[in-house]
Amino acid sequence: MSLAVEDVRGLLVAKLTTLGQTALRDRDEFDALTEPELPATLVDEPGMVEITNIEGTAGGAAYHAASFALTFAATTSAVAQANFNAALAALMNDYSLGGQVLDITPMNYGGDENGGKDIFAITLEIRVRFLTPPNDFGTLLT
Amino acid sequence: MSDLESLTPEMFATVANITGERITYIPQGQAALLPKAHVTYGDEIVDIGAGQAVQQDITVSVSKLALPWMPRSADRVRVGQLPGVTFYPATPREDSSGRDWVFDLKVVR
Repeated sequence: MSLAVEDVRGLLVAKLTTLGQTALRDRDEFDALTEPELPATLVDEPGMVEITNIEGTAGGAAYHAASFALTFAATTSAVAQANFNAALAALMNDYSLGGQVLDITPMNYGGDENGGKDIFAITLEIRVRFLTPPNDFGTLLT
Repeated sequence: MSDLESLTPEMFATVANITGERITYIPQGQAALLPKAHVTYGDEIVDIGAGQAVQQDITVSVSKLALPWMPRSADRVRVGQLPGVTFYPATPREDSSGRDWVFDLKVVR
C-alpha cells in the first residue's frame, strides 16, 4: 500500500513537470547527478512532522503536515534561480494542487554552499497539509 | 658564477616545457599564448541539498615566466583533454614555490 504522503510527492513531481522541469523523485542520495542531466529538480523523501486525528460526524479524519525539500540544480545560477522562482510561483498560485491537499506553505530556502564551481543548487523547503481517513494513511482525502 | 637560486626559474620553465601540456591562454583583448602547463583533471562530487552532483575540478599550474601576470576572470583558457570547451581562470593564486600561478577552471556558459 502506498502512503498518501507519497501520492502528495507525486503531485509535486507532476506540478514541476508541467513547468517543463525534470523532476526526479526516486534518485538515490548517493547517485550523483551528472552535468548532461541538468537542469533537474530533486524532490526529496518527505519528512513527516505532524499527524493529528480530528473528531467528526463522518468518522473524522487524520490531519497530516509533511515537509518536502525541493532542490533546483543547474549549471548556471540564473537557471537554478529561474526554476526556483517558477516553482514557487506555481505552488503559491495553486497551493491546494487542484484541491488535492489543504495547502502548501513555503518554510525555508537556501543555496548550497558546497556547489558553486560549475553546479548551482537552490533548495526550497515546503510544508504540505493534507487529510486522510483516520487509521488509513494510504488514501488521500480530496 | 651561477647559483641554484638564479637557475631555479629557468629550471621550473624547463621542467614545464618537457613534462607539461600545451594549453591555450587568451588574455582579454590580446593574442593567444601557448604556454606549457601542468593540468590536473578530474571531477568532484558536491552536495546539493537533497542529493549530489558531479562537477569538473580542473586545476592549472603555469610558470610565471610563461604567464607574467596574475590570471584574470576575463581571460579565456582551453585545454587539450577537453577540446571545444572554453574556460576562464578562477581563484588564481601562487604555488608554494612562488614561481607558478595556480588557478581553477570554470566553464564559460
